[in-house]
Amino acid sequence: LKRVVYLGVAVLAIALSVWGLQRLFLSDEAAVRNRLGKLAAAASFGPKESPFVRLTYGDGLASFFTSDVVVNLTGVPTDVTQIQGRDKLRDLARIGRANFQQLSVRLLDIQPVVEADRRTATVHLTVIAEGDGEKNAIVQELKLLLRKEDGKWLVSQMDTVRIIEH
Amino acid sequence: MSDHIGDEQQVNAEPPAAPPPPWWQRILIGRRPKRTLVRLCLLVVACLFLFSVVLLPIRVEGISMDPTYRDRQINFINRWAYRITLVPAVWDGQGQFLSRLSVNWRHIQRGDVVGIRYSGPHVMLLKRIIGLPGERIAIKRGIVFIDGKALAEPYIRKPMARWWEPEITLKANQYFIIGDNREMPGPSHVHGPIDGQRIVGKILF
Repeated sequence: LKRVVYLGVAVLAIALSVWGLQRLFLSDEAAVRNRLGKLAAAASFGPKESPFVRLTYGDGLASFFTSDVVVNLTGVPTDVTQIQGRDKLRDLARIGRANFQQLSVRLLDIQPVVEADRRTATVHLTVIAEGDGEKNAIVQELKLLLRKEDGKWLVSQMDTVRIIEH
Repeated sequence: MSDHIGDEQQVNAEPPAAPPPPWWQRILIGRRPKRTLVRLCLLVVACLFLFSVVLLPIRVEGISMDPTYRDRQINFINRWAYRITLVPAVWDGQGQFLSRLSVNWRHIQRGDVVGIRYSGPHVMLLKRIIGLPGERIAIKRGIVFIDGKALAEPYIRKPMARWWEPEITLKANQYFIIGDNREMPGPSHVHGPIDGQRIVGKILF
């Protein structure tokens, strides 16, 4: 029994060490995932937020994008098909924020591929957005291009991916 | 005399019979806990393999497959449905095999209900395959036409809305997917050609 306990403790110690090292020295893929997780959190909001938090919503969200970001919305039922620049994105985020009481954004199946230069990355992911009063969630696959600026991964391009190939 | 003493020693060396484990222990961990532990480990490994590699548990959301699959229904996607299948040998009963044990590749068939992935397997569309690669497909007044012939669809139990889709020819490895609920308006019902690479597997039940 002692041997089993020692073995269990050793396995636990190894697992904790590996986990700790991974947390300390994040790989580029893990850093991208981490960053996108924060982006989803920044895009979500609840009904009981303070007016100050509401005002800073657009700025918080825009900080995840490069100044020359391009968002292409093809195959999505919206009037806007392309958004160019962080400022435009910030304005639209503020307008969108004013129209909803709450929004839940989840990013799933994040599949990052970091280029050899370790400064750019391509990510495929699925976004699920649930707004108030919406019966069904919006599900959309996205392709993101990320660029590393000042040690931070920022989204430089966002394209919607169509599943139905018309 | 010495033999007698030896016999006594032998009798004393035998361990006393262990008392039987209490009934609750027998029910919880069995008569042999080590064996129970090994069985439990094997069961956990088998379940992990089955539900992470072969069967994907899903919960249906939405009404596009209604009434065949209803909102919030639980089911499984068999990821190995379109992989190799074993075809058993056929025995004629008189000492000869009519066919050997063989391995076949199962193809996607019309009428199969499949899971279609987005960027990964955590979010999927659940739809029915009605068009296969190379076929011409059109929808006129809610009736599906494959290569100019009307398709019989016994799984549709609701009156069809008058959908209209112009004829298209499916490319290689392209399938036409659609839901069973044709009562809803066409624009709000996801349907059309998809790349075969997106098909995760076939629904189990």
